[in-house]
Amino acid sequence: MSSFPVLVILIPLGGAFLVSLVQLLLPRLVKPLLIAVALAQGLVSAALVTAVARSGAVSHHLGGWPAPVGIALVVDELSALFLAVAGIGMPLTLLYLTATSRTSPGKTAVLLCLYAAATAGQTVTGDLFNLFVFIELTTVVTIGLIARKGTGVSAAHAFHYLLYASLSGLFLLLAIVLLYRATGTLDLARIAALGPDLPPRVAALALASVMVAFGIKIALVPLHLWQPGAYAAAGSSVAAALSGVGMTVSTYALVRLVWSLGGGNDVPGLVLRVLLVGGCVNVLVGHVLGLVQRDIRRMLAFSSVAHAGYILMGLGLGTAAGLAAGMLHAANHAIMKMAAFWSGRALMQHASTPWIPRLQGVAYAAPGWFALFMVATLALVGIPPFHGFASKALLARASLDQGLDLPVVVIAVGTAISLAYYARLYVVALRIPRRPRAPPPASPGRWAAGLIVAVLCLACLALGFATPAVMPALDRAAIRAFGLPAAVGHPRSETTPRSAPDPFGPEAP
Amino acid sequence: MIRLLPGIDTGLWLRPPAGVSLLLLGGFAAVGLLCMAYAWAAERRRPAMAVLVHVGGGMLTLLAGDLLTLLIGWELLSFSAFFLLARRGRGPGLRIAPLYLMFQIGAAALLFVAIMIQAQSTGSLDVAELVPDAQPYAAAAVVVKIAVIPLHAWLVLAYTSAPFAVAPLLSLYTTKVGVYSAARLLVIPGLAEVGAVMALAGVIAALAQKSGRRLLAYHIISQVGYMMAGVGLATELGKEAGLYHALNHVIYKSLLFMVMGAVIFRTGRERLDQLGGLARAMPWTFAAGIVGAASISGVPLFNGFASKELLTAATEAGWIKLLLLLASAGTGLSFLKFLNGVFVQPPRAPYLHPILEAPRSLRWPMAVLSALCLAGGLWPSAGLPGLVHDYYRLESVAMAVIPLVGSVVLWRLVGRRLLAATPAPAPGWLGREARKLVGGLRAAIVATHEGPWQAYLMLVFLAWAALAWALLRQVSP
Repeated sequence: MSSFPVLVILIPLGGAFLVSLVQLLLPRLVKPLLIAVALAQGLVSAALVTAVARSGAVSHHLGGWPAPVGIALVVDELSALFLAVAGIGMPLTLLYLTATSRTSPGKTAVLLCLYAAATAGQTVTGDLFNLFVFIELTTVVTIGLIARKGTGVSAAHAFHYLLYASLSGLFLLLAIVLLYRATGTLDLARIAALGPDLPPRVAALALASVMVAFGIKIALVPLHLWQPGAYAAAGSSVAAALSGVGMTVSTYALVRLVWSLGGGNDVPGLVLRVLLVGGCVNVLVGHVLGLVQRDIRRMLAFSSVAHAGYILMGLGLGTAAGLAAGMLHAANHAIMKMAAFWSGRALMQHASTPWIPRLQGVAYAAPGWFALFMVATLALVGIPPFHGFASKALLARASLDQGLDLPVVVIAVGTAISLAYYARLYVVALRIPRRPRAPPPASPGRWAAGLIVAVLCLACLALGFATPAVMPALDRAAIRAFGLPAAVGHPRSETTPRSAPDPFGPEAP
Repeated sequence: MIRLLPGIDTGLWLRPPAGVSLLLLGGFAAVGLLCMAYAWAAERRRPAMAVLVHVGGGMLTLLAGDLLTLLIGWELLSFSAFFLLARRGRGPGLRIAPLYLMFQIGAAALLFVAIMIQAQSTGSLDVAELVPDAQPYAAAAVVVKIAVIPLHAWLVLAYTSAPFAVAPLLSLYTTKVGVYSAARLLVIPGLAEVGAVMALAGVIAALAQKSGRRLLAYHIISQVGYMMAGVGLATELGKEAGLYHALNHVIYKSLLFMVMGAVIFRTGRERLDQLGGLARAMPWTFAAGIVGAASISGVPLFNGFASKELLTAATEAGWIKLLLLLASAGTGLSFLKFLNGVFVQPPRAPYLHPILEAPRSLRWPMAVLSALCLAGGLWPSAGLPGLVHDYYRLESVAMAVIPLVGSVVLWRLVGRRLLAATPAPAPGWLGREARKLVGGLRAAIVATHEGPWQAYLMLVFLAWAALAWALLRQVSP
């Protein structure tokens, strides 16, 4: 079991190597190989996550060297959640790609394997520089994924991303240099232990650099400008992984570093405020900009900007409840965004265009896909009983615990706006076209892809009901990982409800 | 108490509310089923799923034992109504559907905020009076849901642009669910006053309408005002009277929408200044229309009279009573206009084909509802068996008859003018300008996101500098 953290990196890494080799020698075997890699990665990740959930953290020292010299791989309860997203989301993406690509999936599959290795590595590593290497690997792979269609537009967007991501890497490197000079170690656990003793100026500069570095990766407004175009250029099947897995894992790295630097429960109030206010701004800007988009992929990309806002809002509350709710929303968002991108892709294929105004009648041409798309987007909007509602409700409750009303109002307004753009799409899809639509070109792997998306949609529904069961474990993870207070007082609980008997109230038990 | 999902303790259960008679709930369900039968008879492609979900959502809301179930009920109603509006795939219903959904989900989002505050303060999700902090949010949600006048666009647009077969069903639950939630959740001063003003304002707006279904839609606003005038009192009698009126209203208003639907089905017209002369051609429909009009105007022996009488008895403030009295007179006048316009006056333009009576499949739901209207008027205490009240006293009958006489007199004086033909209003310029604005905004946003990468880099450095400066200033001021 203790070697599993190595396996979740090695399996996709080796897979990438083998796929590129097999592609040259035996192209027919690429698809079976990809399926095998995806299944192995998914099973190992699931086993690891289950083991951590059952019996606590699993760690592995590479080469048997202890921490100050060697590199540690640690999976605790916090990283287990994100490993679940990366270690199951990426195999699903690989399977989806394998199912839907007409010929052998080629370079994209190699890049996605590398992406799977890099994202899994980000979640399991316990070493700061190792984290940096994995983040740079994601950056390089992402550039390839954005440019994979080889058109001028995709090259331009890849270039934009390259600029942004290099700056992100630059600032992260700056933070690492500062921390290494101050502490003399790169081990995350030791840095977290030394956090309170860091020189305040060093800690401040490192925090600012970390925030900007991950602000770019997570698309914190106004650093989000690269993102919508990049997702549209990458295409839906890959954008699902970039948004669902990439953004989530970056969130994890942000949480890990910020809370390590702050030394547990002592994160500077300013950083929390930046996260909270930035989160609210992200929600509003993302949803409003989503409202004016005409390309499904760009619309979903802006929805990602908004959902990053929900997650950061939860982190910015600075309590265990807020952190747990934010992390739960990150995982939930990964599931529903992947389902939305993939079902949206099927709708686009039926209409032969990504333009929303031209989607007339796809609801009749592809009723199953339309239903799946509705489930995914309603979960994104946060309609009960889907799990998007559950995590939003927990976010709202965590913010009310702090006596903050404004985030709740932002959540409510964001919900209404996001519903507006999805409802517009439903209406177009339900409109009967003037001329009957030419049947779409037969898309390969419809049933397999439909099965994958249906599983994701079912997860949206099932997790909505399972949230009460999952939540205590998440709360525990947040408390244990950072020693956070469960909640900082309940300002509202002083107001007692009126005691007048209510004739319509529930009968006394 | 029934758990919807075994094993979950935090919510999702059904519990018939104490203090609301089961007969009342059964009435709501029965009218829902009748509207369903009507919709199925009139539509070629039967709207099975959406209709069933709509009726189910309405009943779920009424039976909800916890706030989460209540919210789910609201959402089911909204989404099924969305599909009922959009299902033809063309026409005005499809255009209006997103607007309708926006209003409904806006209301649900406000209710959600209220529920969160309630759960946070009391730790329970029971359907009960909300804590004072949550009241404003829930009140705002209810105000949208019951379409108080400046926010009534969704109601009028949706009920007049829906396919005629589903309009009775659409008008059934949505607003009444708002009233019911207000009765269960709200104690906020001023609701009764808002309701009374709404009752009169809705009638005045209805009197100005030229289209049959628009007139009916504005009367929903007015009638919901009546209900709020009772429910907003927050007394037991007030709540019972308001909900009793809701049930009676559901019966006669869906009857009236069915009558109008049958007329649209046979003539293809719906403007009152283009209809007329149908009394001979459609006698059964005419009779049902008379019953519905008499009920909504509160003629004694019809069900509207009983609940209006109970409402008046529950109200204490004199000026609210006066407003309700004026609204009754206006209602009578308005329905004299409706019956005259549709059935009695000679048609301005001859019909292109002979008009037949509504088919039997549309007639029998109307007949059952008419019978219910009469039964509710003849045995008024059957609806609320727990409440002992003498409905047919001399002064109560007099209070009902006086405004009716007033409306007949008014009809003799100004009736012709109310039915005069008017040209259709010209389309406004506002929509065009707004579209232009959105187009410009979209171009600007796309330009920003495809655009000058040098500026992006500056932005990143600026963000870093600002954050670092602020953090450094904190550690060493």
